[in-house]
Amino acid sequence: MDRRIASAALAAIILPLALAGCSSLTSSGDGGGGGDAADFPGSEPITMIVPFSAGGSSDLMVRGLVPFMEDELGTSIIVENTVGAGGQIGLTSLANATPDGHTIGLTNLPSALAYVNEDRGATYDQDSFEALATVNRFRGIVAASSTGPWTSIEQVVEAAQAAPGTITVGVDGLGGDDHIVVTAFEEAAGVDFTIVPFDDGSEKMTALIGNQIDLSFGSVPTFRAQIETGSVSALAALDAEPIVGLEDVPTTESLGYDAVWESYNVLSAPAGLDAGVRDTLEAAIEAASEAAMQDADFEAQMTNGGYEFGFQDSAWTNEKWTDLDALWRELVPLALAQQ
Amino acid sequence: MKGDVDVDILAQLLAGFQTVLTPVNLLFALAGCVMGMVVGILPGFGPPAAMALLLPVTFVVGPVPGIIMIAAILYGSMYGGTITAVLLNVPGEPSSVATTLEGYALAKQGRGGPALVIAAAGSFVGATVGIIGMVLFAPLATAVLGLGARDYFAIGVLGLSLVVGLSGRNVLKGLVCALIGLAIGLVGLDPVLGTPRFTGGMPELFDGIDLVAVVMGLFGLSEMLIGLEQRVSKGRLTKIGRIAPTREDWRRSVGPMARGSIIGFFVGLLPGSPGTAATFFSYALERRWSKGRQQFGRGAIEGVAGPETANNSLGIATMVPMFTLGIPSSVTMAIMMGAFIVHGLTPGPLLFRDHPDVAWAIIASLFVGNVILLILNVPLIRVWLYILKIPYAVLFGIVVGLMILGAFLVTGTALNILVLLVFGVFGYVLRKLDVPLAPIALTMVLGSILEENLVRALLLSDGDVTTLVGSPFSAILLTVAALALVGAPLLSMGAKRLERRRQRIVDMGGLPTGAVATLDAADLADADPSDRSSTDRPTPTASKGE
Repeated sequence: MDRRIASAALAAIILPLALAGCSSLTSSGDGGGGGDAADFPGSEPITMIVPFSAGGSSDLMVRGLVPFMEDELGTSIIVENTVGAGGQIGLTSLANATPDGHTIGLTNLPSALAYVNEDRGATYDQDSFEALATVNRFRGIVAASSTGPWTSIEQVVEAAQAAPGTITVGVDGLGGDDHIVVTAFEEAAGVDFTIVPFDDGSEKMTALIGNQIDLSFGSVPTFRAQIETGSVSALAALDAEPIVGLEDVPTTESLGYDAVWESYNVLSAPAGLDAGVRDTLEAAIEAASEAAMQDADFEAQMTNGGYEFGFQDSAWTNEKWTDLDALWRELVPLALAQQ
Repeated sequence: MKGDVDVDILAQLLAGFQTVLTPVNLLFALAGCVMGMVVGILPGFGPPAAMALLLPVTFVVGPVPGIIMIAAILYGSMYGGTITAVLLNVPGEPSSVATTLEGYALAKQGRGGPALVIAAAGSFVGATVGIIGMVLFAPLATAVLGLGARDYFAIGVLGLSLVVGLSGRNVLKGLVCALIGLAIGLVGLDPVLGTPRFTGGMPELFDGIDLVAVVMGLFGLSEMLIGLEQRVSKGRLTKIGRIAPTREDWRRSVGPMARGSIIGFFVGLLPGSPGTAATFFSYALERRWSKGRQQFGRGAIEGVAGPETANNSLGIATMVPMFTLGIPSSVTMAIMMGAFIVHGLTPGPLLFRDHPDVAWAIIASLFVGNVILLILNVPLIRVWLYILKIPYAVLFGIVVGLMILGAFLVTGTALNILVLLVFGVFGYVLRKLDVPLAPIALTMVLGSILEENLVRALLLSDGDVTTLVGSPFSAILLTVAALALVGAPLLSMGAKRLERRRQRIVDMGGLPTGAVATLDAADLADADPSDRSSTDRPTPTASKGE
């Protein structure tokens, strides 16, 4: 036992040095032998582009799932974090990769929809990708500081209707997922908040706990630590049904506001993928998801991280993508016009 | 009641040490320290990449050894970052820039050894003070939550006032550089509109120009180019002198270390504050107030001791918001938090309630790891000094090659290599024009903090400008900044006059002031006369340059 740990420690010293040397060489997995669907994937490794930084919630989920996918596909999968511009860099390189199935990636919804905002000059849209599957969902809430004046969402809405612009809401990234849901809520409740932009989620959280802002919208895991310690309280679940673990929190639907937090981890390949190869990958993801759910360690990781792990096929994913795309085309201009 | 709590903390801390001092945990601490030092030494290779790479290892070995290792990478890199900064004038990240200013001047005199020893000692002191502060003053993290956008704006303005102090003799050139630094910070997404600004339509620039690449180019690559040029015209620039610092060095470093560790700790406590500015705050403070201020610009040990201590104290203090509030205030902290979460541990106060063994073991490991680093570092300094003996052509190849690879790995985009090269040439030109570069590093760090917090403060106050002085904290800091700007020239004028008067007394054979006389003797004894032309006059005056 101790010897195993000792050798892991030794590997830990040597690995990064070796990897630092190699990672620039492995960066382009495309090109070369595509072969036909029957041979896929063969022995050639598959590159998984994760457009977010290592250690983030999406990255941890993918890295947990990858070993099971490797078992199903019989080849190795290299996770590559291509970070930048809120995912746009990684999505661009995924969209431009050779569609031979050897490059796949994470196209999270709704963050991949940033292409809707024309200012960002994205060179891809839904048609640039061949969705393979959805593997996880995050639910979201509206949160306020426990030491602040707000104890219910109705109270906030009332105050905002009485004096438009006095309620401040932090967002991490203008035009990003939380900003769009805030906009949807403003439309649904007929209120006008003052949007205060932050660089990242932790700055937004600091401002919320410190009562610098009134509200923050976000996915459940990002608030978990603070809700448990009681520094933040959930005012509403941005959902149709109560959220597991937060059953006492009223849903936006029950309150009559049409604003739902929908956020998914989606796996896609570049468009133009052979249908046979797509079916192989989709089936492998489904089988891997089932195997992963049976694994106690993986299951614990999902529960601890606040994930709602579950497989949805490509047809479901495509439909969801189309719906959200339409919703965003409606809301993004509204969100940005406010600024 | 209060006593009970303290005894409890002590007992838990001791239990933590017991956990850390098992072979397995010590091995992982050592592994983290070594890796941290390696990524610290290699320019452009930062701790985030190494920490992220090793995150999967924590899945296998369990939370305690895993997180001990991940944390060790972070503070280990801070020891390593000093080496190229002092010996080659090549800072690997913005926080090492302040160290190059005096550290390289010392290395040129053959005093690189003492500078590195003092830096290692300062790093140890800073980390130790940081850990003690973390144990005793963790509740302060909650207190600083009351600080809002206007307060952070005021911190940024105070940082701007340091530009004058960093500009050396030519304040005008320094101010131009400050504007260049601010201009670099403008590239990216507009914080008010969310639209791209000065990005040329390249999404790679939406997050702003990568500061690591800018610093490596501006300071490191330009220095290597200058070295290449001088190598052709002159002989060796550097020599290996004695390694142990003199008693005088130690004596002069005590004050800067004490001040640096306090500055670093408080800046680190503030989530969203410009962490790198702590090293500049410390440098500027020592340059103005320390006893050795006359020697600044010509190799003052205070200029190494202060910033290095501040940097490590800062590194530990940035962990406080995560441990107390569950808020990761930097990229590296976000990775560490990920390591906690995959094991079902929630960083924050609940960690101390539900898993006190884990929490205290990790805090204890910080101290143990820093002892390991001190033991590792001091003997290795002799080895590092031989970097200077490497033929320059080989050294140039290795260092520039590593910088290019590092720049690519930071963001994974080739554009970053271009940024490195462009700023390398730009830095070369600025060095040729005798322009002080340090203000650029300072203001490019401060730029986005200033702008974003100004925007936030005004949004929160509905556009009322008086909000900026509306909190006692911001009002005090802005006043201090104003005084520093107006007062600095007056003070330095006064100091010069005082110095001249003292000089007259010395010349007339009157009572020499002990400190000044010994300083000079030590300086002269160690200095290599061929390196500097200005040693011909033994009298230190503020106006004398390097």
